[in-house]
Amino acid sequence: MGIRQSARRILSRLTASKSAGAQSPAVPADDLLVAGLRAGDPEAVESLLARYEARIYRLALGITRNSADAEEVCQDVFLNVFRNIEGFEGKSSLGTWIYRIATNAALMKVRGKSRSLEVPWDEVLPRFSQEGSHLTPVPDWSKDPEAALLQTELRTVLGQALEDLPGEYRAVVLLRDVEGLPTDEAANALGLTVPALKARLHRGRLFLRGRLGEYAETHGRPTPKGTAE
Amino acid sequence: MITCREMVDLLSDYVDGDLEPMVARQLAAHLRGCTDCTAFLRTFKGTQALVREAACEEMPEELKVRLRDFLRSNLQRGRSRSTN
Repeated sequence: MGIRQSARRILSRLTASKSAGAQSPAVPADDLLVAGLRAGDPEAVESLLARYEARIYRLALGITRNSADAEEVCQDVFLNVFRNIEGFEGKSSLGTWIYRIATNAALMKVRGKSRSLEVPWDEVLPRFSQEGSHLTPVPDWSKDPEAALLQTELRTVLGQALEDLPGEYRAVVLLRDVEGLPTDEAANALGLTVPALKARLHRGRLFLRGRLGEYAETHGRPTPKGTAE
Repeated sequence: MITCREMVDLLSDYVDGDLEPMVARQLAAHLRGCTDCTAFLRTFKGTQALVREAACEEMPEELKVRLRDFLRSNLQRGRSRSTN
């Protein structure tokens, strides 16, 4: 079946799903979903959207930090998927393929807008002595039952820290720590080697922790330490 | 013996379960004896939890409707072009 025929069948499904009240169908496995989309199965389109639209929106919003941009990314992504499903070769999972399209589209949105890749890493990384020990005590601000306000404030600080993190790093953190993609799939989605992805992920995590730590250590009341995990 | 600097360098691999078992054991041993690194690990994990929580924004229903309208309209346009 050609791309135009697929698009025509998908179009008929979108029309039908609207008039039927858009109930969420049971979601089939990826291979069945791909076969269904290629065959113009009337359930496949709604299944694809049901499975991926919220995830793609969340990822796009996380990368672009802007709801209008995230909406446009969603539109671009699913239009791309429906138009190109015939060309999907199955070299990666359907999800990885969709995430790849989505991260590319979202990163395109932030390129030009985003801040420089020059991040003051040294300011958010811990300092060590020549022997490799922490130079200053490390407060534990992670769990303070009396500091609900601090946790609320940290969410605000985190939002700013995520904005300050370059998009390429933000995408890695979101794919791994929010979407839960395995390392190799996240690397595939971003066109990175696994070591490059791991390096970016670690830097991104340290950056966010550092920014939260800066705030918490000046505004919070650290809990007593000493209980190892 | 693992230093605090090495612990920080290895932390992502440690929390992701990607370390060789021997190295993971050495790191765990370091953590048992180092309150600073234990605090660092906790705040590192706490940051991951906050990121997960912060990114859990629901997709608005009206946006889902607009997405379907957009796809319908654009796929329709593609069909019109292909039949002309």
